[in-house]
Amino acid sequence: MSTLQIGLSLFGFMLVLMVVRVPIAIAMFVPGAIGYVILSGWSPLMAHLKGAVYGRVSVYDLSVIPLFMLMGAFAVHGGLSRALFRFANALLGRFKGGMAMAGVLACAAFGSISGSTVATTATIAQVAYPEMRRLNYSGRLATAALATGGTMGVLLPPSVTLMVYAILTEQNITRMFLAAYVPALVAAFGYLIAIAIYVRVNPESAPPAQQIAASELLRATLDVWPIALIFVAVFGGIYGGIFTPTEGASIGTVLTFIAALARGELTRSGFVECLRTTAQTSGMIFMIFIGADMINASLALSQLPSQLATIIGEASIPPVAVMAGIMIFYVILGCVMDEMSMILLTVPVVFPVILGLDFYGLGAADKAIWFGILILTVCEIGMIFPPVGLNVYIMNGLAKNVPMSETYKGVVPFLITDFIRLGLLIAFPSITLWLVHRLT
Amino acid sequence: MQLGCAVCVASFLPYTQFRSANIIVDFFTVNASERSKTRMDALGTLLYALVMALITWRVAAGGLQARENEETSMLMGIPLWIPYMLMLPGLAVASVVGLVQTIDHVRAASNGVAA
Repeated sequence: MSTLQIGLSLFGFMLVLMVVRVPIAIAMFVPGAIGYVILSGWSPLMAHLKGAVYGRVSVYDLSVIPLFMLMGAFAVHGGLSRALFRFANALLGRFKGGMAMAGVLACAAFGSISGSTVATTATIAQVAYPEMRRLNYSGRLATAALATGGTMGVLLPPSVTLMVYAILTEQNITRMFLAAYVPALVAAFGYLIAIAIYVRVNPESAPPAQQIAASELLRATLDVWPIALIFVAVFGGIYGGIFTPTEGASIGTVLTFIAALARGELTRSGFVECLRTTAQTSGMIFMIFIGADMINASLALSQLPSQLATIIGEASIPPVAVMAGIMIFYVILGCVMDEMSMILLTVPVVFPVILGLDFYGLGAADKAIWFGILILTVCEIGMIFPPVGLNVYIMNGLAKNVPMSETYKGVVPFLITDFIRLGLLIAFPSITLWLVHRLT
Repeated sequence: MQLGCAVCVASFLPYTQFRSANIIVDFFTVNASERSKTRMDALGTLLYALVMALITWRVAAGGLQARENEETSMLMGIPLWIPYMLMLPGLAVASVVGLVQTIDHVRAASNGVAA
Protein backbone atom coordinates (compact mmCIF):
# COMPACT_ATOMS: atom_id res chain seq x y z
CA MET A 1 0.00 0.00 0.00
CA SER A 2 1.27 3.44 -0.82
CA THR A 3 1.34 6.04 1.93
CA LEU A 4 -1.44 7.86 0.14
CA GLN A 5 -3.66 4.79 0.28
CA ILE A 6 -2.87 4.41 3.98
CA GLY A 7 -3.90 8.00 4.51
CA LEU A 8 -7.20 7.42 2.75
CA SER A 9 -7.91 4.21 4.67
CA LEU A 10 -7.29 6.03 7.94
CA PHE A 11 -9.92 8.51 6.92
CA GLY A 12 -12.34 5.70 6.07
CA PHE A 13 -11.67 3.90 9.35
CA MET A 14 -12.36 7.10 11.23
CA LEU A 15 -15.72 7.54 9.52
CA VAL A 16 -16.68 3.94 10.37
CA LEU A 17 -15.88 4.51 14.03
CA MET A 18 -17.95 7.70 14.00
CA VAL A 19 -20.94 5.91 12.51
CA VAL A 20 -20.94 3.39 15.38
CA ARG A 21 -21.17 6.14 18.00
CA VAL A 22 -17.56 6.20 19.11
CA PRO A 23 -16.90 9.71 20.50
CA ILE A 24 -15.53 11.88 17.68
CA ALA A 25 -12.29 12.64 19.50
CA ILE A 26 -11.58 8.93 19.97
CA ALA A 27 -12.70 8.10 16.44
CA MET A 28 -9.96 10.44 15.25
CA PHE A 29 -7.33 9.36 17.76
CA VAL A 30 -7.46 5.59 17.22
CA PRO A 31 -6.92 5.53 13.41
CA GLY A 32 -4.38 8.30 13.90
CA ALA A 33 -2.35 6.24 16.33
CA ILE A 34 -2.60 3.09 14.23
CA GLY A 35 -1.58 5.00 11.11
CA TYR A 36 1.39 6.48 12.93
CA VAL A 37 2.58 2.99 13.88
CA ILE A 38 2.18 1.71 10.30
CA LEU A 39 3.88 4.70 8.72
CA SER A 40 6.72 5.18 11.11
CA GLY A 41 6.66 2.57 13.86
CA TRP A 42 5.75 1.96 17.48
CA SER A 43 8.58 3.76 19.22
CA PRO A 44 8.23 6.97 17.18
CA LEU A 45 4.55 7.02 18.22
CA MET A 46 5.53 6.56 21.85
CA ALA A 47 8.07 9.35 21.55
CA HIS A 48 5.57 11.58 19.77
CA LEU A 49 2.93 11.12 22.47
CA LYS A 50 5.34 12.04 25.25
CA GLY A 51 5.27 15.66 24.27
CA ALA A 52 2.32 15.96 21.89
CA VAL A 53 -0.57 15.93 24.34
CA TYR A 54 1.07 18.31 26.76
CA GLY A 55 2.20 20.48 23.87
CA ARG A 56 -1.31 20.59 22.43
CA VAL A 57 -3.10 21.69 25.56
CA SER A 58 -0.46 24.03 26.98
CA VAL A 59 -0.74 26.80 24.40
CA TYR A 60 -1.24 30.27 25.79
CA ASP A 61 -3.72 31.25 23.07
CA LEU A 62 -5.93 28.28 23.92
CA SER A 63 -6.68 29.59 27.41
CA VAL A 64 -8.87 32.18 25.70
CA ILE A 65 -11.47 29.50 24.93
CA PRO A 66 -12.53 28.48 28.47
CA LEU A 67 -12.44 32.11 29.57
CA PHE A 68 -14.77 33.35 26.88
CA MET A 69 -17.02 30.36 27.52
CA LEU A 70 -17.25 31.22 31.21
CA MET A 71 -18.06 34.81 30.27
CA GLY A 72 -20.89 33.58 28.04
CA ALA A 73 -22.17 31.27 30.78
CA PHE A 74 -22.38 34.19 33.21
CA ALA A 75 -24.27 36.18 30.59
CA VAL A 76 -26.72 33.29 30.15
CA HIS A 77 -27.37 32.82 33.85
CA GLY A 78 -27.35 36.51 34.67
CA GLY A 79 -30.48 37.24 32.64
CA LEU A 80 -28.63 39.48 30.19
CA SER A 81 -30.55 37.93 27.28
CA ARG A 82 -33.84 39.39 28.51
CA ALA A 83 -32.41 42.89 28.60
CA LEU A 84 -31.02 42.50 25.09
CA PHE A 85 -34.23 41.17 23.63
CA ARG A 86 -36.33 43.90 25.23
CA PHE A 87 -33.99 46.52 23.82
CA ALA A 88 -34.02 44.99 20.34
CA ASN A 89 -37.80 44.80 20.42
CA ALA A 90 -38.12 48.42 21.52
CA LEU A 91 -35.95 49.30 18.54
CA LEU A 92 -37.61 47.17 15.85
CA GLY A 93 -41.08 46.47 17.24
CA ARG A 94 -42.73 49.16 15.12
CA PHE A 95 -42.13 47.17 11.93
CA LYS A 96 -44.33 44.30 10.85
CA GLY A 97 -42.54 41.13 11.91
CA GLY A 98 -40.54 43.36 14.22
CA MET A 99 -40.32 40.90 17.08
CA ALA A 100 -38.81 38.24 14.81
CA MET A 101 -36.30 40.86 13.68
CA ALA A 102 -35.66 41.73 17.32
CA GLY A 103 -34.96 38.05 17.99
CA VAL A 104 -32.33 38.05 15.24
CA LEU A 105 -30.78 41.26 16.52
CA ALA A 106 -30.73 40.00 20.12
CA CYS A 107 -29.00 36.82 18.94
CA ALA A 108 -26.37 38.92 17.18
CA ALA A 109 -25.84 41.05 20.28
CA PHE A 110 -25.67 38.07 22.60
CA GLY A 111 -23.39 36.25 20.16
CA SER A 112 -21.00 39.20 20.44
CA ILE A 113 -20.29 38.46 24.10
CA SER A 114 -20.79 34.69 24.14
CA GLY A 115 -18.57 32.12 22.51
CA SER A 116 -21.12 29.36 22.30
CA THR A 117 -23.69 29.27 19.50
CA VAL A 118 -25.80 26.76 21.36
CA ALA A 119 -25.97 28.99 24.41
CA THR A 120 -26.81 32.02 22.27
CA THR A 121 -29.67 30.28 20.50
CA ALA A 122 -31.09 28.67 23.61
CA THR A 123 -30.92 31.68 25.87
CA ILE A 124 -32.43 34.17 23.43
CA ALA A 125 -35.08 31.69 22.35
CA GLN A 126 -36.12 31.06 25.96
CA VAL A 127 -36.93 34.74 26.29
CA ALA A 128 -38.10 35.57 22.78
CA TYR A 129 -40.07 32.51 21.75
CA PRO A 130 -42.87 32.67 24.39
CA GLU A 131 -43.25 36.40 23.70
CA MET A 132 -43.56 35.83 19.96
CA ARG A 133 -46.17 33.13 20.37
CA ARG A 134 -48.11 35.31 22.80
CA LEU A 135 -48.37 37.93 20.04
CA ASN A 136 -49.55 35.30 17.53
CA TYR A 137 -46.41 34.84 15.49
CA SER A 138 -46.68 31.58 13.55
CA GLY A 139 -44.64 28.71 14.96
CA ARG A 140 -42.87 28.37 11.64
CA LEU A 141 -41.59 31.93 11.53
CA ALA A 142 -40.82 32.17 15.24
CA THR A 143 -38.73 29.00 15.46
CA ALA A 144 -37.01 29.56 12.11
CA ALA A 145 -36.05 33.18 12.86
CA LEU A 146 -34.55 32.27 16.23
CA ALA A 147 -32.75 29.15 14.98
CA THR A 148 -31.24 31.19 12.16
CA GLY A 149 -30.41 34.20 14.31
CA GLY A 150 -28.49 31.92 16.65
CA THR A 151 -26.18 30.78 13.87
CA MET A 152 -24.54 34.20 13.91
CA GLY A 153 -22.86 33.09 17.11
CA VAL A 154 -20.57 30.90 14.99
CA LEU A 155 -19.22 33.92 13.17
CA LEU A 156 -19.30 36.67 15.78
CA PRO A 157 -16.33 37.00 18.11
CA PRO A 158 -15.67 35.53 20.61
CA SER A 159 -16.90 32.47 18.73
CA VAL A 160 -15.15 29.33 19.93
CA THR A 161 -15.13 27.90 16.42
CA LEU A 162 -13.47 31.04 15.12
CA MET A 163 -10.79 30.87 17.82
CA VAL A 164 -10.17 27.21 17.07
CA TYR A 165 -9.63 28.00 13.39
CA ALA A 166 -7.27 30.85 14.22
CA ILE A 167 -5.20 28.70 16.57
CA LEU A 168 -5.12 25.81 14.13
CA THR A 169 -3.91 27.87 11.19
CA GLU A 170 -1.68 30.04 13.39
CA GLN A 171 -3.47 33.23 12.48
CA ASN A 172 -3.63 36.28 14.68
CA ILE A 173 -6.84 35.93 16.75
CA THR A 174 -7.42 39.67 16.82
CA ARG A 175 -7.31 40.00 13.03
CA MET A 176 -9.53 36.97 12.71
CA PHE A 177 -12.07 38.55 15.08
CA LEU A 178 -12.09 41.78 13.09
CA ALA A 179 -12.69 39.95 9.83
CA ALA A 180 -15.94 38.47 11.15
CA TYR A 181 -17.84 41.70 11.79
CA VAL A 182 -18.73 42.87 8.28
CA PRO A 183 -19.81 39.39 7.10
CA ALA A 184 -21.91 39.04 10.28
CA LEU A 185 -23.48 42.42 9.57
CA VAL A 186 -24.30 41.27 6.04
CA ALA A 187 -25.84 38.13 7.56
CA ALA A 188 -28.04 40.05 10.00
CA PHE A 189 -29.11 42.43 7.25
CA GLY A 190 -30.01 39.50 5.01
CA TYR A 191 -32.09 37.90 7.75
CA LEU A 192 -33.98 41.12 8.48
CA ILE A 193 -34.81 41.50 4.79
CA ALA A 194 -35.89 37.85 4.63
CA ILE A 195 -38.27 38.44 7.56
CA ALA A 196 -39.63 41.65 6.04
CA ILE A 197 -40.37 39.89 2.74
CA TYR A 198 -41.75 36.80 4.45
CA VAL A 199 -44.32 38.69 6.53
CA ARG A 200 -45.47 40.57 3.44
CA VAL A 201 -45.97 37.37 1.48
CA ASN A 202 -47.56 35.61 4.47
CA PRO A 203 -49.28 38.39 6.43
CA GLU A 204 -50.99 35.91 8.75
CA SER A 205 -47.66 34.68 10.14
CA ALA A 206 -47.04 37.84 12.14
CA PRO A 207 -49.26 40.33 14.04
CA PRO A 208 -49.58 43.95 12.89
CA ALA A 209 -46.79 46.26 13.96
CA GLN A 210 -46.78 47.39 17.61
CA GLN A 211 -46.60 50.91 18.96
CA ILE A 212 -43.52 51.37 21.09
CA ALA A 213 -43.50 54.34 23.46
CA ALA A 214 -40.36 56.45 23.65
CA SER A 215 -40.23 55.86 27.40
CA GLU A 216 -40.10 52.09 26.80
CA LEU A 217 -37.15 52.53 24.45
CA LEU A 218 -35.38 54.68 27.02
CA ARG A 219 -35.96 52.17 29.80
CA ALA A 220 -34.73 49.30 27.64
CA THR A 221 -31.64 51.28 26.67
CA LEU A 222 -30.80 51.96 30.31
CA ASP A 223 -31.13 48.26 31.00
CA VAL A 224 -28.75 47.29 28.23
CA TRP A 225 -25.88 49.73 28.76
CA PRO A 226 -23.81 47.49 31.08
CA ILE A 227 -23.66 44.89 28.33
CA ALA A 228 -22.61 47.51 25.79
CA LEU A 229 -19.97 48.68 28.24
CA ILE A 230 -18.57 45.18 28.69
CA PHE A 231 -18.45 44.72 24.93
CA VAL A 232 -16.63 48.01 24.38
CA ALA A 233 -14.19 47.41 27.26
CA VAL A 234 -13.26 43.88 26.19
CA PHE A 235 -13.13 44.22 22.43
CA GLY A 236 -12.06 47.85 22.38
CA GLY A 237 -9.12 46.79 24.52
CA ILE A 238 -8.29 43.83 22.32
CA TYR A 239 -8.58 45.70 19.01
CA GLY A 240 -6.84 48.75 20.41
CA GLY A 241 -3.91 46.51 21.27
CA ILE A 242 -4.17 47.36 24.98
CA PHE A 243 -4.38 43.73 25.99
CA THR A 244 -4.21 40.25 24.45
CA PRO A 245 -7.39 38.27 23.70
CA THR A 246 -6.74 36.12 26.78
CA GLU A 247 -6.43 39.17 29.03
CA GLY A 248 -9.51 40.67 27.42
CA ALA A 249 -11.43 37.48 28.05
CA SER A 250 -10.43 37.50 31.72
CA ILE A 251 -11.54 41.09 32.13
CA GLY A 252 -14.79 40.32 30.31
CA THR A 253 -15.45 37.33 32.52
CA VAL A 254 -15.06 39.37 35.68
CA LEU A 255 -17.18 42.26 34.33
CA THR A 256 -19.95 39.93 33.16
CA PHE A 257 -19.91 38.23 36.53
CA ILE A 258 -20.33 41.60 38.26
CA ALA A 259 -23.11 42.64 35.86
CA ALA A 260 -24.93 39.37 36.44
CA LEU A 261 -24.63 39.80 40.22
CA ALA A 262 -25.83 43.39 40.00
CA ARG A 263 -28.95 42.31 38.14
CA GLY A 264 -29.57 39.97 41.06
CA GLU A 265 -30.32 37.05 38.79
CA LEU A 266 -27.20 34.96 39.25
CA THR A 267 -27.99 32.45 41.97
CA ARG A 268 -25.53 30.25 43.79
CA SER A 269 -26.66 27.17 41.88
CA GLY A 270 -26.52 29.18 38.66
CA PHE A 271 -22.91 30.07 39.41
CA VAL A 272 -22.00 26.42 40.01
CA GLU A 273 -23.78 25.53 36.79
CA CYS A 274 -21.69 28.12 34.91
CA LEU A 275 -18.47 26.55 36.14
CA ARG A 276 -19.75 23.08 35.33
CA THR A 277 -20.78 23.77 31.75
CA THR A 278 -17.52 25.58 31.13
CA ALA A 279 -15.49 22.66 32.49
CA GLN A 280 -17.54 20.14 30.57
CA THR A 281 -17.41 21.95 27.25
CA SER A 282 -13.72 22.78 27.61
CA GLY A 283 -13.02 19.12 28.28
CA MET A 284 -14.95 18.19 25.15
CA ILE A 285 -13.20 20.73 22.93
CA PHE A 286 -9.71 19.90 24.15
CA MET A 287 -10.36 16.19 23.79
CA ILE A 288 -11.25 16.80 20.14
CA PHE A 289 -8.07 18.85 19.83
CA ILE A 290 -6.03 15.91 21.09
CA GLY A 291 -7.78 13.44 18.77
CA ALA A 292 -7.55 15.69 15.73
CA ASP A 293 -3.89 16.29 16.45
CA MET A 294 -3.21 12.56 16.38
CA ILE A 295 -4.93 11.85 13.08
CA ASN A 296 -3.45 14.95 11.49
CA ALA A 297 0.03 13.90 12.57
CA SER A 298 -0.36 10.61 10.75
CA LEU A 299 -2.09 12.17 7.75
CA ALA A 300 0.92 14.46 7.51
CA LEU A 301 3.18 11.39 7.57
CA SER A 302 1.12 9.86 4.76
CA GLN A 303 1.66 13.10 2.83
CA LEU A 304 -1.99 13.11 1.91
CA PRO A 305 -2.42 16.87 2.42
CA SER A 306 0.62 17.89 0.38
CA GLN A 307 -0.12 15.39 -2.41
CA LEU A 308 -3.70 16.58 -2.55
CA ALA A 309 -2.45 20.15 -2.80
CA THR A 310 -0.12 19.19 -5.66
CA ILE A 311 -2.78 17.25 -7.54
CA ILE A 312 -5.28 20.08 -7.31
CA GLY A 313 -2.61 22.66 -8.06
CA GLU A 314 -1.57 20.85 -11.24
CA ALA A 315 -5.05 20.09 -12.50
CA SER A 316 -6.03 23.24 -14.31
CA ILE A 317 -9.30 23.84 -12.47
CA PRO A 318 -10.16 27.48 -11.84
CA PRO A 319 -9.42 28.25 -8.15
CA VAL A 320 -12.91 29.61 -7.59
CA ALA A 321 -14.37 26.28 -8.78
CA VAL A 322 -12.11 24.47 -6.29
CA MET A 323 -13.36 26.82 -3.58
CA ALA A 324 -16.99 26.20 -4.52
CA GLY A 325 -16.32 22.45 -4.47
CA ILE A 326 -14.79 22.67 -1.01
CA MET A 327 -17.75 24.67 0.24
CA ILE A 328 -20.21 22.07 -1.08
CA PHE A 329 -18.12 19.34 0.55
CA TYR A 330 -18.38 21.20 3.85
CA VAL A 331 -22.14 21.61 3.61
CA ILE A 332 -22.46 17.84 3.09
CA LEU A 333 -20.00 17.01 5.87
CA GLY A 334 -21.81 19.45 8.15
CA CYS A 335 -24.93 17.30 7.80
CA VAL A 336 -23.35 14.52 9.84
CA MET A 337 -20.58 16.15 11.86
CA ASP A 338 -20.46 18.96 14.35
CA GLU A 339 -18.74 22.16 13.30
CA MET A 340 -15.82 22.02 15.68
CA SER A 341 -14.67 18.52 14.77
CA MET A 342 -15.21 19.30 11.11
CA ILE A 343 -12.82 22.24 11.28
CA LEU A 344 -10.21 20.46 13.38
CA LEU A 345 -10.26 17.47 11.09
CA THR A 346 -10.39 19.03 7.65
CA VAL A 347 -8.54 22.31 7.92
CA PRO A 348 -5.08 20.72 8.14
CA VAL A 349 -5.88 18.83 4.92
CA VAL A 350 -7.68 21.56 3.00
CA PHE A 351 -5.64 24.54 4.15
CA PRO A 352 -2.47 23.67 2.16
CA VAL A 353 -4.64 23.28 -0.95
CA ILE A 354 -6.06 26.77 -0.48
CA LEU A 355 -2.66 28.29 0.20
CA GLY A 356 -1.33 26.67 -2.97
CA LEU A 357 -3.96 28.29 -5.18
CA ASP A 358 -4.10 31.85 -6.38
CA PHE A 359 -7.24 33.79 -5.41
CA TYR A 360 -7.39 37.34 -6.72
CA GLY A 361 -3.68 37.67 -5.88
CA LEU A 362 -4.32 37.64 -2.11
CA GLY A 363 -1.37 37.21 0.26
CA ALA A 364 -1.10 34.10 2.45
CA ALA A 365 -2.35 35.75 5.65
CA ASP A 366 -5.29 37.40 3.88
CA LYS A 367 -6.16 34.15 2.20
CA ALA A 368 -6.15 32.33 5.54
CA ILE A 369 -8.48 34.87 7.13
CA TRP A 370 -10.80 34.96 4.13
CA PHE A 371 -10.99 31.18 3.94
CA GLY A 372 -11.68 30.99 7.69
CA ILE A 373 -14.67 33.30 7.36
CA LEU A 374 -15.93 31.25 4.40
CA ILE A 375 -15.71 27.99 6.38
CA LEU A 376 -17.50 29.58 9.32
CA THR A 377 -20.24 30.80 7.00
CA VAL A 378 -20.72 27.24 5.81
CA CYS A 379 -20.73 26.07 9.44
CA GLU A 380 -23.54 28.55 10.09
CA ILE A 381 -25.47 27.08 7.20
CA GLY A 382 -24.83 23.59 8.56
CA MET A 383 -26.51 24.52 11.84
CA ILE A 384 -29.88 25.00 10.18
CA PHE A 385 -29.46 22.81 7.10
CA PRO A 386 -31.56 19.60 6.98
CA PRO A 387 -31.40 16.77 7.93
CA VAL A 388 -29.37 17.61 11.04
CA GLY A 389 -29.40 21.28 11.93
CA LEU A 390 -28.22 21.63 15.52
CA ASN A 391 -30.06 24.90 16.03
CA VAL A 392 -33.29 23.47 14.65
CA TYR A 393 -32.97 20.71 17.24
CA ILE A 394 -32.49 23.26 20.00
CA MET A 395 -35.58 25.17 18.89
CA ASN A 396 -37.49 21.93 18.68
CA GLY A 397 -36.57 21.16 22.27
CA LEU A 398 -37.93 24.54 23.38
CA ALA A 399 -41.01 24.71 21.18
CA LYS A 400 -42.45 21.26 21.57
CA ASN A 401 -45.73 22.02 19.83
CA VAL A 402 -44.06 23.05 16.55
CA PRO A 403 -43.02 20.05 14.44
CA MET A 404 -39.45 20.11 13.19
CA SER A 405 -40.61 19.98 9.58
CA GLU A 406 -42.34 23.34 10.13
CA THR A 407 -39.08 24.89 11.31
CA TYR A 408 -37.20 23.47 8.33
CA LYS A 409 -39.79 25.00 6.00
CA GLY A 410 -39.48 28.31 7.79
CA VAL A 411 -35.72 28.25 7.50
CA VAL A 412 -35.73 28.17 3.68
CA PRO A 413 -35.86 31.95 3.08
CA PHE A 414 -33.00 32.40 5.54
CA LEU A 415 -30.97 29.70 3.84
CA ILE A 416 -31.44 31.51 0.53
CA THR A 417 -29.94 34.69 2.00
CA ASP A 418 -27.13 32.59 3.50
CA PHE A 419 -26.17 31.14 0.13
CA ILE A 420 -26.34 34.56 -1.52
CA ARG A 421 -24.04 35.88 1.22
CA LEU A 422 -21.63 32.97 0.75
CA GLY A 423 -21.49 33.74 -2.98
CA LEU A 424 -20.80 37.41 -2.25
CA LEU A 425 -18.07 36.56 0.25
CA ILE A 426 -16.37 34.26 -2.26
CA ALA A 427 -16.65 36.78 -5.08
CA PHE A 428 -15.54 39.79 -3.04
CA PRO A 429 -12.86 38.97 -0.43
CA SER A 430 -12.72 42.67 0.40
CA ILE A 431 -16.02 42.35 2.33
CA THR A 432 -14.10 40.20 4.80
CA LEU A 433 -10.73 41.90 4.67
CA TRP A 434 -11.71 45.56 4.58
CA LEU A 435 -12.06 46.06 8.33
CA VAL A 436 -8.92 44.04 9.06
CA HIS A 437 -6.88 46.26 6.75
CA ARG A 438 -8.46 49.42 8.09
CA LEU A 439 -7.73 48.68 11.73
CA THR A 440 -4.43 46.79 11.75
CA MET B 1 -0.52 30.49 32.40
CA GLN B 2 -0.37 27.81 29.74
CA LEU B 3 0.96 25.37 32.33
CA GLY B 4 -2.08 26.00 34.48
CA CYS B 5 -4.27 25.68 31.41
CA ALA B 6 -2.88 22.23 30.61
CA VAL B 7 -3.46 21.07 34.18
CA CYS B 8 -7.00 22.44 34.29
CA VAL B 9 -7.89 20.87 30.98
CA ALA B 10 -6.61 17.50 32.11
CA SER B 11 -8.72 17.80 35.23
CA PHE B 12 -11.82 18.67 33.17
CA LEU B 13 -11.56 15.55 31.03
CA PRO B 14 -12.97 12.99 33.52
CA TYR B 15 -15.93 15.28 34.26
CA THR B 16 -16.71 15.63 30.57
CA GLN B 17 -16.65 11.89 30.07
CA PHE B 18 -18.64 11.37 33.26
CA ARG B 19 -21.43 13.55 31.90
CA SER B 20 -21.13 11.72 28.56
CA ALA B 21 -20.50 15.09 26.97
CA ASN B 22 -17.95 13.98 24.41
CA ILE B 23 -19.85 14.44 21.19
CA ILE B 24 -20.81 11.45 19.12
CA VAL B 25 -22.48 11.23 15.73
CA ASP B 26 -25.90 9.73 16.37
CA PHE B 27 -27.33 10.56 12.96
CA PHE B 28 -26.80 7.03 11.58
CA THR B 29 -28.10 5.19 14.60
CA VAL B 30 -31.35 7.00 15.42
CA ASN B 31 -33.30 3.93 14.34
CA ALA B 32 -31.02 1.34 15.92
CA SER B 33 -32.33 -0.58 18.92
CA GLU B 34 -31.38 0.54 22.41
CA ARG B 35 -29.51 -2.68 22.86
CA SER B 36 -27.25 -2.30 19.86
CA LYS B 37 -26.71 1.36 20.76
CA THR B 38 -25.60 0.30 24.22
CA ARG B 39 -23.23 -2.23 22.66
CA MET B 40 -21.74 0.46 20.44
CA ASP B 41 -21.40 2.78 23.41
CA ALA B 42 -19.54 0.04 25.25
CA LEU B 43 -17.05 -0.03 22.37
CA GLY B 44 -16.81 3.77 22.43
CA THR B 45 -16.14 4.00 26.15
CA LEU B 46 -13.69 1.10 26.02
CA LEU B 47 -11.68 2.80 23.27
CA TYR B 48 -11.85 6.00 25.29
CA ALA B 49 -10.48 4.25 28.36
CA LEU B 50 -7.67 2.67 26.33
CA VAL B 51 -6.71 5.94 24.67
CA MET B 52 -6.70 7.79 27.98
CA ALA B 53 -4.60 5.05 29.56
CA LEU B 54 -2.11 5.31 26.70
CA ILE B 55 -1.98 9.09 27.04
CA THR B 56 -1.55 8.88 30.82
CA TRP B 57 1.37 6.51 30.37
CA ARG B 58 3.07 8.64 27.72
CA VAL B 59 2.59 11.91 29.59
CA ALA B 60 4.14 10.25 32.63
CA ALA B 61 7.08 9.17 30.48
CA GLY B 62 7.30 12.66 29.01
CA GLY B 63 7.33 14.11 32.51
CA LEU B 64 10.16 11.83 33.62
CA GLN B 65 12.14 12.78 30.55
CA ALA B 66 11.55 16.48 31.19
CA ARG B 67 12.84 15.96 34.71
CA GLU B 68 15.99 14.18 33.56
CA ASN B 69 16.71 16.89 31.00
CA GLU B 70 15.83 19.57 33.54
CA GLU B 71 13.57 21.38 31.08
CA THR B 72 12.03 24.58 32.40
CA SER B 73 9.33 26.93 31.12
CA MET B 74 10.58 29.84 29.11
CA LEU B 75 9.24 32.80 31.05
CA MET B 76 9.18 31.80 34.69
CA GLY B 77 11.67 28.97 34.82
CA ILE B 78 9.23 26.51 36.36
CA PRO B 79 10.49 22.94 35.96
CA LEU B 80 8.30 21.41 33.26
CA TRP B 81 7.89 18.05 34.94
CA ILE B 82 5.59 19.60 37.55
CA PRO B 83 2.69 20.40 35.18
CA TYR B 84 3.26 17.07 33.44
CA MET B 85 2.81 15.25 36.73
CA LEU B 86 -0.16 17.40 37.73
CA MET B 87 -1.90 16.35 34.53
CA LEU B 88 -1.65 12.68 35.44
CA PRO B 89 -4.45 12.37 38.03
CA GLY B 90 -6.98 13.91 35.63
CA LEU B 91 -5.95 11.70 32.75
CA ALA B 92 -5.87 8.58 34.88
CA VAL B 93 -9.28 9.25 36.40
CA ALA B 94 -10.67 9.86 32.92
CA SER B 95 -9.45 6.45 31.87
CA VAL B 96 -11.04 4.84 34.93
CA VAL B 97 -14.34 6.64 34.29
CA GLY B 98 -14.29 5.28 30.74
CA LEU B 99 -13.65 1.78 32.02
CA VAL B 100 -16.46 1.94 34.59
CA GLN B 101 -18.84 3.15 31.89
CA THR B 102 -17.78 0.29 29.64
CA ILE B 103 -18.62 -2.22 32.36
CA ASP B 104 -21.98 -0.52 32.88
CA HIS B 105 -22.75 -0.65 29.17
CA VAL B 106 -21.75 -4.28 28.84
CA ARG B 107 -23.93 -5.21 31.83
CA ALA B 108 -26.82 -3.19 30.48
CA ALA B 109 -26.48 -4.78 27.04
CA SER B 110 -26.54 -8.30 28.48
CA ASN B 111 -29.58 -7.42 30.62
CA GLY B 112 -31.26 -5.91 27.60
CA VAL B 113 -31.83 -2.48 29.10
CA ALA B 114 -30.35 0.88 28.16
CA ALA B 115 -27.72 2.27 30.45
